[in-house]
Amino acid sequence: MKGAYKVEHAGIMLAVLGAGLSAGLAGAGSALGIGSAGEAGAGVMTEDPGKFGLILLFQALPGTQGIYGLLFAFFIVLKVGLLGGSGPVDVPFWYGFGIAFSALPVALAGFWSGAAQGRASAACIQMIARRPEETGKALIMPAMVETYAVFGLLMSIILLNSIQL
Amino acid sequence: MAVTRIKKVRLLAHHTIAGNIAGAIQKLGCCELIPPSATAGGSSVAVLDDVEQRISELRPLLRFLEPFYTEERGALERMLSDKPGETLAALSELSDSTETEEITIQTRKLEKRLAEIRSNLSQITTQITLLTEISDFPYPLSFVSPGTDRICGFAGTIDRDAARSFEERFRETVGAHGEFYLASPGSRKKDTDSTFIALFCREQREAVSDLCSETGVSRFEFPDDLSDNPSTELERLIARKSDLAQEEKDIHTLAESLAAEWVPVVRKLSDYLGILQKKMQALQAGAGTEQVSILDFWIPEPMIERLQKVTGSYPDLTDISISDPGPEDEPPSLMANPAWAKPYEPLTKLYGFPLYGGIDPTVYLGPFFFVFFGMCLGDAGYGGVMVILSVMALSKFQMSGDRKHFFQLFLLGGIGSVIFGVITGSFFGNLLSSFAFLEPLARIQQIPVVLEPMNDPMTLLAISLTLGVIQIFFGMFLVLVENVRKGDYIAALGDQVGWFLFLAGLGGMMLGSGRMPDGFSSVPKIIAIAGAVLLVLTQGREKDTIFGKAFSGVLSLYNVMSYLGDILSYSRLLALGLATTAIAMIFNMLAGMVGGVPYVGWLLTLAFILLGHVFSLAVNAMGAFVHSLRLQYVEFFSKFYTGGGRPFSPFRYQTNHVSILDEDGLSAENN
Repeated sequence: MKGAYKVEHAGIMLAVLGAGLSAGLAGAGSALGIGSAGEAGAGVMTEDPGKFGLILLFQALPGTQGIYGLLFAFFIVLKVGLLGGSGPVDVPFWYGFGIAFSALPVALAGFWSGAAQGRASAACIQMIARRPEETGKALIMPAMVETYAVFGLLMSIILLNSIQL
Repeated sequence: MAVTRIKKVRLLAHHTIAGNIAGAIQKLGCCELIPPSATAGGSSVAVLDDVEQRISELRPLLRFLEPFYTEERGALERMLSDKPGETLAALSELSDSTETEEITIQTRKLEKRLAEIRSNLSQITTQITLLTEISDFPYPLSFVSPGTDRICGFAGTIDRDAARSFEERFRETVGAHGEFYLASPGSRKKDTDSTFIALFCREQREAVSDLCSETGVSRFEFPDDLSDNPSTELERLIARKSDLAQEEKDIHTLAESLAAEWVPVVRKLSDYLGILQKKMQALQAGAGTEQVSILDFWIPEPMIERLQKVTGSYPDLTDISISDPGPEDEPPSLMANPAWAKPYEPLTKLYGFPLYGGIDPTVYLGPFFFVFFGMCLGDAGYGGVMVILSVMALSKFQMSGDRKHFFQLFLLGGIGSVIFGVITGSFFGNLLSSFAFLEPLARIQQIPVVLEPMNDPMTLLAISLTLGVIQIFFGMFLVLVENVRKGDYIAALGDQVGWFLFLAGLGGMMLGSGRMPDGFSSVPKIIAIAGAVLLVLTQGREKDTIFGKAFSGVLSLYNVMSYLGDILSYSRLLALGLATTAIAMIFNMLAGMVGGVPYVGWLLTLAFILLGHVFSLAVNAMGAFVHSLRLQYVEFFSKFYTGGGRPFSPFRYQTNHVSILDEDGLSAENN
């Protein structure tokens, strides 16, 4: 977008806020989660460096929230036409407001579930350090947490889709 | 599918041939020995001690030599391929013809000498550090300790700031008959301590001692073998150090040549002896009488014929009795799946082995996993990369067992992604339409597209949830069949038919409102009510009182929430599929943006595309795997499968370095 920003642009700017919240908060949640899983992984690896591959897998599990946030931010940016050839769409103020709010499920669920999934991952890393034969079950427990990030993303997509520009 | 039927076998063999029989069973590799329950007075096998003795000799030999051995095969090949093959006869010949006593003694000496050299070297290094610091001390160190008739002294460390005042007090104490030397900070710049040496007359020893304990300086003695001037000693030590280092190097060279000669041999020997040990242990563990050895084991039903062929060669000296497992037995489970489902066996094993006599879920989860993984990754480009990588690995390396299944799983996952990527128009995301010169290809790519998830996520969501309904109902259907087979009709009617009707009716009410033809609009409602009534009537059947039955029955309807949650959980198929496309698109966009940089733009574009898509493939393939698996374990298995079985672990050739070949050159391990 070029030229002076006017009041009419408030709608599209609110949409930008939504995209920012979505990518930012969900990404922060993933960062917290991957961080705490990484700490546990480093601890286990001081004892058994051979588990690196497996631990990396567990550490990466809480990374999906960030991807969901990014995905939804992408959806918003595409919807209001900030990316792509055809140029920005005219977004009325209240519509922009709605778009910003539609980002909340994925942003909030992503933030907290990312952090919580990281703790579950960390615990499971400790678990496979002692019982490597239970890796399959250990993989599932962090994935249980992620369900709620998926639901958040789902609701955000439904909400965004219901706002017809 | 059910697991393979297992039979219990008791085999009696006369002592003279018991060893041969045990060897033959080990070669068959399809019998799991049952350890005797009571302390059976097993026949002791004298040869076993001999074998164990040799194994305990070889182990330290291998441990010492292996670090010096250059592997013939690359790390990747060693990890993925099967072990090189050897026949048992060749190994036996090798074992007879090889004398390891000499090499054992030689390596033991080398190992000891190396340890000595290492400890000497570390000692010398410490001494060199100290001597370097005090290298300008003018007198021989023997003056300091033990000292001469009249003079003695000591060395110590002291904080540099405190050194001056200590020196003053020292001089006050000893008067003109003492010398104080303080090392220059030179090598110890980082810490604030310096080494000092004090020399004084013997009669002043007490006074100096008091001074030291008063000021709290720490004293140390020079080692006895340092007696000359520090600079002379330093030269001597440096020469000694290089001698030792040279000797260490020579030993390493020698060890390397020994390793090249002996490691392959010793590996084979230790595998061979391991096999012998296992065989003899089996014989020893089994019960026996004076003349007869008894072996009890589990055997899969299809293998009995082979066993009988083995015992058939000694008809007069063996006796065999075969029976079905009794109720008190816990037979192991052996999965028997058609070839197409074998790659999915590791997934079942990850969750837990099926119980003997229970359902093996592998064939049921296979097709679902294929579809789910395809949807979650959902990109023709990424799928293609996976297909190419796994085909390369499978054709380059000789693999067997779970490792092979894993790569086949990888291959199948890739194929699923290619299919889904083609019908959704995703090839490395939107790579083809992001660059103008690829435009013609993009138009071809559009032809088979039936669905565009980025523009129409709702349709894909509906498909995902439908797949969820199908899988959950299928899981319930499996239990229904099982209940009918067992004759538990009430459970079938209540637990499964009731839920089928109730859920189907509710679904119909939600989706069908206003769309049903005239006169049928109340059909879903009637079905739902019929289901609900069935559930209320049957779900409390375990309770004692009428009130309890009614209460539990009504309460069970609340479980509809958990079914709803299970079905919604399948929306992750949409989420992960979209995530793959989105990440790929972002990298394509970034690659397009950096293309504008002058001169190196094309290089940056290429780098972004390559690195970005490698990252994206790794992250998304992992996510697709974990979540496809989770849907099987949590949503699907929870309806019908518990695991908890014990894997069949046959008595066979267990080796670390070579795989045992049949006389005709076929691998004997995996039949």
